[in-house]
Amino acid sequence: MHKKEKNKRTIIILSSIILSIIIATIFIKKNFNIPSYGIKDGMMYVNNIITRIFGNKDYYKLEKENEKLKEELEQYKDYKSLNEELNNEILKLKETLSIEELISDREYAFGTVINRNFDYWQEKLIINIGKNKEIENNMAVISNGNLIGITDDVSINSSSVILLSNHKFPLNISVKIKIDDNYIYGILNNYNETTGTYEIIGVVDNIDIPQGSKVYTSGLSSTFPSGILIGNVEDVTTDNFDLSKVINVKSETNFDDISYVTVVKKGNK
Amino acid sequence: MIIIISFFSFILEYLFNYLLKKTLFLPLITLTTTVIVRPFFKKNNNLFYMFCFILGFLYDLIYTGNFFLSAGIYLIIGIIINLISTNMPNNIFTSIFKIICAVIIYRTLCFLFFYINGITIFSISNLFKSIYSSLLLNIIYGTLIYLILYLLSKKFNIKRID
Repeated sequence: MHKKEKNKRTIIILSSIILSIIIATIFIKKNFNIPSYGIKDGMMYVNNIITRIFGNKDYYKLEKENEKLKEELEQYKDYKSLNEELNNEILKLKETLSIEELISDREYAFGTVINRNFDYWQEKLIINIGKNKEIENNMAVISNGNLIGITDDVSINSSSVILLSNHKFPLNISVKIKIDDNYIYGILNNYNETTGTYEIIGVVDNIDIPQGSKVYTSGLSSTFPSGILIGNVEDVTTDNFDLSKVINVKSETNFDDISYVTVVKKGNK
Repeated sequence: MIIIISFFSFILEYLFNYLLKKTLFLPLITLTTTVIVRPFFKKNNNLFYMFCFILGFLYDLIYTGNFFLSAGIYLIIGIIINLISTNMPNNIFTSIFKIICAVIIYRTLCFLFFYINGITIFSISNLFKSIYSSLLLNIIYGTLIYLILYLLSKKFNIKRID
């Protein structure tokens, strides 16, 4: 009887383990996350309490940053008035040409990183804004002025961000490289974790690309508005067949230190 | 008492995750708690396995979002901890040994799972980094919580396996 019970227990435990692994695999392959929304959103309240208590841990760092920002603010005022003037001109031109939307039109939402699992550190992170800030899947996410990824698995108060450093990044991003006043176009391919650089492929133009040239999103997709900075050109090589250029681009964002992000939505209300 | 400690460990896990970002102190507080509270289940192995599974499931819900993965791994770790506990006396040194085993198993199984499913690339250095980064904080936490529980169980005369 005792042996029978022991066998029964072993079977239950083994089947639980196997079932768990199978369910986990299905959930990860099919990207199902819906049932956790309520609990994730509930944990946001805990996060708010923790942020209130420990939010000023970087006080001295913040003080220095504040000084720097004050200096930049003076410059910003000038940019703001210039921006307003340019926006007015754009609006007038839009009306004249009957254009409803430009590829550079965008809206912003600001968030904080609340969770980043070490098991997939380079792959994704969680931020504290979701449907409450009108976030949807596949919106561009920037940090420190540079594109870092896209939103995914959006719940009411939180969203996942698939990072560009993810080796299985789901989108091909169309990019443009600024050389003097011209742009050349290519596709952002993959991220090299060791060198910390992206690879741009499909550049066939026979133009010299100087080191340090800025790389932006082209806006030629429904996902990203144009003009989001991706990084600077580090070096240029050619592909295996010597047919097109392969450009290595270094992002200015340190992917190990992302705390605050901006979600950019294409279009204008 | 087990429920209170588990709840406390969840809050602490959240707090450490917030405060320590990719440092040498990666928290696996809930896992460490599972190891430390084992003696309080006395000889009720079934209840301990159920506890491991539920704690792992909650960990998935709150932190990882990978349904049932930690639940399965916690259950495997629960079986191994049980085996070690039946063959070794329960003291501070064996508790540290059990924490080390649990961290290594958890990190290795997670790494293998994510690699097999194509989520991460195969990098042994990343695996070692995640293991040694998780050990220090969890050993310190495990030692502290062991001593606290030891004193509390003496004071309130709570039975446990020694």
